[in-house]
Amino acid sequence: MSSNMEIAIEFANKVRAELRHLTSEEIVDLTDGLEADIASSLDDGVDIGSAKKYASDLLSAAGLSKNEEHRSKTFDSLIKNVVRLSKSISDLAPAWWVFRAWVATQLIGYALFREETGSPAFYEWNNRPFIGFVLLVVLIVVSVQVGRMTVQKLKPLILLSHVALAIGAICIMFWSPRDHNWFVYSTDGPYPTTTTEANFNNCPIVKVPDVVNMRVVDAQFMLDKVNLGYYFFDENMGRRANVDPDEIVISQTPTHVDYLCFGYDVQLTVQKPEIVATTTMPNETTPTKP
Amino acid sequence: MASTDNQSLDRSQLVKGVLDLAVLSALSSEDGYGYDVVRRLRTAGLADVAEASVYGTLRRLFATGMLTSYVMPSEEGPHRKYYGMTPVGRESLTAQRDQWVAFCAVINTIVNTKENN
Repeated sequence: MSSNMEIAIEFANKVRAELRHLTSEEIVDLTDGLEADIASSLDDGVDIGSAKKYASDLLSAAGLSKNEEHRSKTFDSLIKNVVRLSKSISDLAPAWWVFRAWVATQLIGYALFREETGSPAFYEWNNRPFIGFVLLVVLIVVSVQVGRMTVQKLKPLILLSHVALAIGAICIMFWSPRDHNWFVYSTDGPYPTTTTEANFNNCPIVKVPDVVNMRVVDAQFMLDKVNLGYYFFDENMGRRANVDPDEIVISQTPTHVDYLCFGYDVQLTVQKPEIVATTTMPNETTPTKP
Repeated sequence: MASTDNQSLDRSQLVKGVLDLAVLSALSSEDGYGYDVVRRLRTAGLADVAEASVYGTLRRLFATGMLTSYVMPSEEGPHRKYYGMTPVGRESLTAQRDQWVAFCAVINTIVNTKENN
């Protein structure tokens, strides 16, 4: 390397130092290839002047000097605080490496077993503590290794992977890894009641209305209103196709404390209304006084 | 460097006003790196043009889409950054050239009129 090139490199670094108030991207953009140009200038015997004046001319011509002037002290202070905070965060890197491994373990558990728990929270590997522990250890080792290998050039890649992890976590929250065979969601317990009639994913659910002791026509109206279907049985559990609208619903399955998937059927047991006893025969007339 | 006394024109201010036009013109026939553009301008007569001003102008014209840029590796040391014209830059050059010619015509008219008086 020629002595002029060495001088040029040193001068270019001084110019960059004068531009330190700019972002690293702006500095690179403004000074990329500067060493070669300065070296050529020195080869021609040109006086390049001071780095300060050089940087000032560069800024002015690039249209960046006004930004510098208008940059408020508050903004500078904010930047300094952000830098300080990021340094503090980097001190906590080992804790972060362990934490992200734990989060990944929870997410995997949640994706695989959430239906078993019926819980909207993270699955805690309670039923498989050993597998969960082994997975956690493996992920901690991987996380720490990745963290320790982190070099400047890989930082964007690491950042990207964290974004991908976050997106993945959100996707898992809404993704069901296996088909549900849930039918009725009971409020009596955390477990789903199952049926072979339904096989669907994450159905929207509605609360079953109480239609017991109602006339069939009224029960139908109530169930139609919440978009639930229905079918009928008589008292002897014989399925019936046609039902008199005036018959009475004596029981229902599921009951009104349960929730049912949108569009599914409620089983209604009906019976004919009781005949009300009368004291007057149909053809009987009231005796008249003579 | 530019004279600042009241008896002559401030060349640096004059150059500053037309540096975009000068740089675009210097690159209109052939791509070039920063110092190459400086050489072309100096050879053409702008002996006192500041190098850093030219480099800053190149970056700004690049940022506004008038120039394209690419890096060429150098055997001697650090790479060189080359600049070339884009269609937008050529359009701008034509417009600026027309403006400059019209502006010069007006100034010439004014200056000559004063001389005649």
